[in-house]
Amino acid sequence: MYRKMLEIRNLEQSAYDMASAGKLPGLVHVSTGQEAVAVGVCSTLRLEDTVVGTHRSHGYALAKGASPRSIMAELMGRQDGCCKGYGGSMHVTDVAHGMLGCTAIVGGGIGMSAGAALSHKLRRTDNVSVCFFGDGALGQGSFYEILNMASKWTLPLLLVCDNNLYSMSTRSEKVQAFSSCSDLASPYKIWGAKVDANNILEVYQAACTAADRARRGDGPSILDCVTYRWTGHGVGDPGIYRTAEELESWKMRDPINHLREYLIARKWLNEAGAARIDEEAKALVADAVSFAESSPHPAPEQAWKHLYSEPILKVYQECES
Amino acid sequence: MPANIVMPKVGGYDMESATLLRWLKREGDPLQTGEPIAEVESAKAVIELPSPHTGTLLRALVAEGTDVPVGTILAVVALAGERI
Repeated sequence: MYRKMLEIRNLEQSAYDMASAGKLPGLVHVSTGQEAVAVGVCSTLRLEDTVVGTHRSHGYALAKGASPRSIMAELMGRQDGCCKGYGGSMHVTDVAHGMLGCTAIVGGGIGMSAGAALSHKLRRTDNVSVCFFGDGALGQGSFYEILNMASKWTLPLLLVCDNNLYSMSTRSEKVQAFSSCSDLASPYKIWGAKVDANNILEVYQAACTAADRARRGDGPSILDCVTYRWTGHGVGDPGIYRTAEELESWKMRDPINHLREYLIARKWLNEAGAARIDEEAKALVADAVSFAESSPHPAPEQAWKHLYSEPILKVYQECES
Repeated sequence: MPANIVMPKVGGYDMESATLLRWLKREGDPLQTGEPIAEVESAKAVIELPSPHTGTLLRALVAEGTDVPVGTILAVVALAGERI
């Protein structure tokens, strides 16, 4: 878990730096500071379990097992990307690793994840479906419909709110009637917990409970994982709606430092070992960047490929000519 | 090897360029990572640009008041420990 968080931290830093210098196409949202949510939850999952993400999903994909090379190539829009360069930052998909896809529409993944959960149930597997969404998605009506339906149908669904306290620039408490979405567990008759998501052990424990319940057939859970993003909402956001002191106070509670200190205090890791993992994570991301840079751009004539089924493609091509 | 400071995309999701309003550091000044080095103005905001490096400001390449595209090299920095 320590290594995975560092890999995400380094990958996000590279993505941020490149996007900031205008080298990545499209909008880029990084999860620096929120790594414990992705890693804490995905560490409880198996390959066959499925994940649906948001516009801020590089970390979920990496934590679910997608390769850093394929993610980085996707961010750069290259042929070796996990979506062959068609998706970019906000659509990191790797079905082979159970990363079903991400949607940049706020709350758009919630219905998809319930569909995946229904599929797991109808196929009589004990796989679980995880939906990561932001605190902003709590304002979407579909969230409450799914909460009700998932409870009634006892779907094996983990609703994980990656709660960084801000819906873009709006502090969630300004627009949210309840103090934590985990409070909704009781009226909807499911299990829920609010966790300090800068402590990965708390996230892991809650996710284990939720996943075990789902696998046993006890239905969905909702986790309110409270954390903080260290960067703006996306690259380009100067973040002037929050104070430097607030940001600094959250940086003091770095989830990666927290786990390192925990492991070192118990002598499960020493400084040299931690430094080595740090170096290896950096090297892995540097390798991913150079791999992605050497991957070709998709050819323009490929633009229609993989977008539609072949008959529809033919119609489009006829229309074009 | 000296490092570059480029005009970052900091002032709006669709920012394509920004004006370097004022240098807050002079050539030869020491820099700390995160320390403001210049003030830039995009179409949407005025932002203090934090230094991405610790070292010494070798050359400021863009004159105050100039509008430059994202990715333009603004300055060259000798990294900490580097001989100038």
